[in-house]
Amino acid sequence: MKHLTFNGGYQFNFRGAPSAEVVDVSVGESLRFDLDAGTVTWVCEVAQGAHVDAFAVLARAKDAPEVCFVSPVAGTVARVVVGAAGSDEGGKVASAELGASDGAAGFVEVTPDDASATTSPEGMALDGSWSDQRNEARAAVARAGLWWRIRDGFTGAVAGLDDSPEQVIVRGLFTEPFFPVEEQLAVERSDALVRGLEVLDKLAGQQAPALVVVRQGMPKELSELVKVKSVEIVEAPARYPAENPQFLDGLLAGWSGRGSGRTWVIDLQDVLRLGDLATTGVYDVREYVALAGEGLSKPSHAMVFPGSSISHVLSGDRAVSGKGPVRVLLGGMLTGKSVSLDGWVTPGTRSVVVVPEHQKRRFLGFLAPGLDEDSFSYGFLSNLAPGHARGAHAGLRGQVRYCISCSYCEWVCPVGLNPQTLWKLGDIGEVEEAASQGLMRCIGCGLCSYVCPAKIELTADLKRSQEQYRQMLAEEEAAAGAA
Amino acid sequence: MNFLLKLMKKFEPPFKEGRLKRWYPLYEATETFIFEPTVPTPGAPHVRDAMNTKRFMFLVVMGLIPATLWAFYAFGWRPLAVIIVSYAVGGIIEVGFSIARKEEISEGFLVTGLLFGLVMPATVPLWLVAAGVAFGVLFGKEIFGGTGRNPFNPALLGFAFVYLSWPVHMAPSAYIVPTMHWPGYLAKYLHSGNMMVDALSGATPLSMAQVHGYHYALAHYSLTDMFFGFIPGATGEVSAVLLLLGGLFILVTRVANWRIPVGIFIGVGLLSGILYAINPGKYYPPLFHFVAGGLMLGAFFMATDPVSAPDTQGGKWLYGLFCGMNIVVIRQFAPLPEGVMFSILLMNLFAPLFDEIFLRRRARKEKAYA
Ligand code: SF4
Ligand code: SF4
Repeated sequence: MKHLTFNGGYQFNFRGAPSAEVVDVSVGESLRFDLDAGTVTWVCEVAQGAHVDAFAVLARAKDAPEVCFVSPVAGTVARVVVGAAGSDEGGKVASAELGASDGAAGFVEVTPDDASATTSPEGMALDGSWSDQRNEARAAVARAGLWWRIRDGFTGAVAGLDDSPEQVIVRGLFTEPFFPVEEQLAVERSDALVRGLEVLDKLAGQQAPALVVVRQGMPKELSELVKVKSVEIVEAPARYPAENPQFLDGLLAGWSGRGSGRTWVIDLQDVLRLGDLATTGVYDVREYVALAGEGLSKPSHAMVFPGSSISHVLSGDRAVSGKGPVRVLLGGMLTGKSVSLDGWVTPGTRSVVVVPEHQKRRFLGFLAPGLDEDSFSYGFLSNLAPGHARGAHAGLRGQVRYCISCSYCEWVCPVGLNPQTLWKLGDIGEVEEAASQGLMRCIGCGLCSYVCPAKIELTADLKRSQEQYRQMLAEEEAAAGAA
Repeated sequence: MNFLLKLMKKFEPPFKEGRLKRWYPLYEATETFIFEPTVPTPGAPHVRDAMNTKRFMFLVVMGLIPATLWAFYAFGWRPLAVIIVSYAVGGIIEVGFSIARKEEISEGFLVTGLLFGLVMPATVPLWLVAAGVAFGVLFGKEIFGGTGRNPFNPALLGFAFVYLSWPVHMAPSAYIVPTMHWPGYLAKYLHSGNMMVDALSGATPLSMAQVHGYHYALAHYSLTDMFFGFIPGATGEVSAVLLLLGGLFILVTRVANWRIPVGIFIGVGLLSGILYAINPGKYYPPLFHFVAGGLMLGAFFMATDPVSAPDTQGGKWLYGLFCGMNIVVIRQFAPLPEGVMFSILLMNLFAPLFDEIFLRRRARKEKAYA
């Protein structure tokens, strides 16, 4: 067993954590999938009006056509809208209604049939024959629509089909508010886990151990269960951002000499899918997510069809509590994306978090004793009761000022950078100097922005500096090539 | 409190759009001071820490409150007048510059205004307070672009200016000797006109020690007197125990970085210990250094001003250590009785240099990762 240790980071304790209950969310009237998922650009395979079976290919990755995105249900393709990024793909475009959705690349919408058949389509079988054929196994997993769930730890992009990773990191611990508790799944579905780890072993190749990251103290049952060779349990402190892929890559693979293709990262629940695929030829397409946050009256876990509309997911029992305006986030409070209520649950989503917007203008707020405040500083009475969950809202909680050099950001930065220096250098345009101070190692966890009393958008600004630096390098390279 | 907010909002239009537009920062500062603003986060991270600069500065002020109250007990109501003038004049300059720069008014002045008042002798003429704070804020802060960009601690710069320009007003005769009898000078307003009648003036222990040796000072005031604050001195610096209390408060709340005061104490203790071991008749004992003058105020509340201190943690250590040693050097070898304020100012100047050492170190380390 390995132990993961790191300095900095932060333990959040907000109200609205999901209960252990797992709600089954029905499929809803239609499912919609953006063709630009941020990390993958999909090219649509189906035409409007066509009938698709469950696990039929809906789209293929633009850069790697073997990597499929499959329909989670049997149904009819109700709409295909191809936006700017995908329009050059011609042929398959059924309608050219531009810019109709959030994703510039458009979307596919499927109306599910009443009955969802789940027989394994051809090419997805992972039985026996894969045992010593790495590439065949990879092809089967890619066809089954699971490959894109394996990420490169260094770049965050979908793993390459011809990668030879040195290790695979399985994320079983999530510390950002709020994510589902996946260790529970692992204990309940130990058979699938063991099978899934075997598949993973095959996919990655013989020399790549799987490092299963779990909460400290948690894995007693797990270590019993996981007897697959080349699997190692890694105990991590339950401190954000213990689950960040780039962070895990840096800690477990070493910050020096990192590079794409060396480390894969996959979530524990996706390993279960691999296991199911190997056993039955199909898998549960529904995402195991947390529906959480103080904006919901009954936060819980849920099984949600990818592509469901948020308004469907947050209906009935799961409705927004209605005590004023809220912000709906796909993903956690630190790195999630804000969506409107008529948005869609993108595939791979781990949580739908509802946070109240900041409403009340407190009288002389800075004098308040602070009985319900979360703060890295010890400047509030609630700091005396660390175990007590606090409220959170989507307010800045102060006004933007110039950096007061309090060093909080440096204190929390899990990577050990000094964000204030990086930010100040970026602010005056010295990105090269910032890079020499470790700018490119910033994993964008958001903690520095979280703690900053001057309310500086450190994370966003550092990201911009990173882009500037990358561009600068590219330009230099181009100039060198031209010369 | 809703009616108050509504009332305030009635005054907003002329500031926002009308003829008072240039004064909008003043309106905005007042409104957001009284009613915390509700600004939504622009993006990820979507939630933020409850700490902000208002609370931050307010906590520093909280840390200074015990020592401030002691000033009223020990020296009468005059220090209050000094603090008010300091706040008023400095505040006007701060507001003026914010309006000229079209920026929000920053909260740093809440601390500067009080600190400046606390480093003055109780009987100082009020015009001199005004001149000092104006100089400090103008040349220590505003010409560099305001709070956050100031290389010097403005309160200290103002102090140095006053000290060097009008030494008579900072001479021993300006300092009141606190009385041991309850209720102190609580009910009195002692200024240079009436202080000879109602109270005694006297040299601070450090001035005594400078002229006659520390034994002479100790013959007048015991270490306990100094520890509790029954000695003449600047209004806010005399009670070591209350400053220690307030200082620990700002360390625990993480408003001040512990490395700096600890570094200073180590620096002072180390060098004074060595000197005392060499010649205990001539050099002050370490404890004397700790309680006789402005060390507590300086170490906890002046040197820790994060903006003028180094940014790197290693830099903070060096800054503290050198500052501490420098204090001893000035007190023992320079023709000045007290060295705290000047040491910190000097170290402010060196802060970027200390940082540079650790930035280079990091650059070497990061190279290995690249
Ligand atoms: S600098 Fe980057 S890695 Fe460090 S806290 Fe900020 S966002 Fe996280
Ligand atoms: S947390 Fe904000 S104010 Fe504090 S040092 Fe970092 S950037 Fe500056």
